[in-house]
Amino acid sequence: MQRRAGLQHKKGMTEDSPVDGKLLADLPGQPELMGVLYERHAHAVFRYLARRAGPAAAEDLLSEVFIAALSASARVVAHDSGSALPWLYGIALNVLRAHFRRQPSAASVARGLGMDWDAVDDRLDALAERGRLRAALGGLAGSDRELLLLVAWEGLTPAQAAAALGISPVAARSRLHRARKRAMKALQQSRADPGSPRSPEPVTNFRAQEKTS
Amino acid sequence: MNSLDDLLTAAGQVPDISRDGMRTGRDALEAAFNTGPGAPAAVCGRKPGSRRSGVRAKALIGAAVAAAGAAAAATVIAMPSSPAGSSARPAVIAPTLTAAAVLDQAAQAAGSRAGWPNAQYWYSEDKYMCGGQLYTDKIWLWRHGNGVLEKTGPKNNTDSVCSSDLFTTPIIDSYKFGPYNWSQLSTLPTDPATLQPKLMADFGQGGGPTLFEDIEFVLVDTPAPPAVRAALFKVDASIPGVKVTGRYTDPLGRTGIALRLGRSTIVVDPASGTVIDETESGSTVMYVTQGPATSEPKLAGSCARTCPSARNSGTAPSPRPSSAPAADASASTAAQSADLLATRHTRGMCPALVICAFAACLLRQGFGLG
Repeated sequence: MQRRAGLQHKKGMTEDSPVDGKLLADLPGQPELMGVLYERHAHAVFRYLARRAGPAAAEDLLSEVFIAALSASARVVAHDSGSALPWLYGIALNVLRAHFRRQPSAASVARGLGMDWDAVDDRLDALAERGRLRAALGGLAGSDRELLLLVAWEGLTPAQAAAALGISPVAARSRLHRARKRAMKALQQSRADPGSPRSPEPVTNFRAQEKTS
Repeated sequence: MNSLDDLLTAAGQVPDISRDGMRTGRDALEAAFNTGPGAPAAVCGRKPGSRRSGVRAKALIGAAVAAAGAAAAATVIAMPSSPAGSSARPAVIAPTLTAAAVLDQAAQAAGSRAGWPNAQYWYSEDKYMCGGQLYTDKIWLWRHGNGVLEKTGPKNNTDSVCSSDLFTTPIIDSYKFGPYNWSQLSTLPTDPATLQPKLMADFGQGGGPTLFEDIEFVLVDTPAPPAVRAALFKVDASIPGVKVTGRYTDPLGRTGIALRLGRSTIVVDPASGTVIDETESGSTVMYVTQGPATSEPKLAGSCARTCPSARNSGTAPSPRPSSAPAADASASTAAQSADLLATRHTRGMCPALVICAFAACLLRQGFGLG
């Protein structure tokens, strides 16, 4: 089921992605190749950021991602699929977390959650479904939600999403199943009781917390 | 009414980056490349050299301009990962060996194995590459839900995400086996003609490559009984287009026949009726062990075990196998409910183990599981 997701968001995963493998292998000795990666993947990374933080913030954060990647380029390890995107999305996630940590806590953006739900809801207005996706995904652990969204929004394969999050491909697959089941269940519950969509408590992202605990 | 997928699709629609935004980002990257703190320093084992010269700056732009040409010219294909230097190599085998014959033989072997009708736990161990190094996942899943995941591997990895979760953690999960729980797996049809449509309905997917992947999932990740496994291999044998790509010796020295459909390649050992390796989109997993187990490991530093008063403060646990050792029982009880754990620790019953609670118990699974 999860493998079907990401129908029209696959722009980032184009057929030239395998070429990244060679590019990433050369990157440690030739950091200027980051320019190639930028031209090739800035659009996909921008969409990743825009989906989670809104387009305005995404424009500001885009260069941060590639500059962070430049710093990390000496120790880049390509995903086996040859695409640099799992690596770039992993960096983008860290940049997003830092971005949300800088936000005032009073904002509706739950700190550390890595998601601007208002921006998400703005895109659901056309369906008159404001709040519904938040109700469905808010109950998921941060890492499970990110896994689901990397597949659904960014069009990664489960194995690539696993690489972006540093978990095993096998664990990713069962977690995806679990996440989808939970999300669908939560969605049904919010449908049954539309007056009070489940407004989740900020679900702290475990990986962000590990570093601080 | 909109489904989860409809909502995801709608919420995933964002505008593309503007031309100005693209240029701003490029300029900022350029500036960092030339002068900024982000300019990479020479790293041990890497070629040293100035990263700040004007020549480099031009090269950045030049390389970018050349990108399209390079993309078209390069013919590098990402190869499946070859851990440990790797003796892995496909070889030419007799052309008469068909996928159906291999799968039929595997079905025979799988179906003739002794079953595990009374197993309480399902144990699986698999190895995979992350950041260029080998990691091992060991998973114990309890018949009635939940379990334990233990990840081991090198602590020092240049890709820190690979080594950031090297610990044993509870699995709090009642949907471990895709669309099935343990008892549903035990009652899947053993007639391939009945099993195939059921799989497609339960996974909500089509036939062909997706069915091939779903079957592989049930074969390697679940305690489906021998008769069901035999039927799964037979359904596989009926899928058009499955190709034998060669005999394959994996980095652990095990040999099988590689079968491919779509983006997925599985290595089947026909003699044992097991899938020993899987490659999907270039990422390879080696399935080392799968089988029944009588218990799960103790959770080192488990909050539940070290705080007896807290352990007894929760709701009644689900029925436990009487054969399970007491220590295991407490460990699994700890895994049963994130809410329960949260309750324990917010009561302050275990203040010395806050780190354990946060790092190992709660945050791995999130608070919102109730």
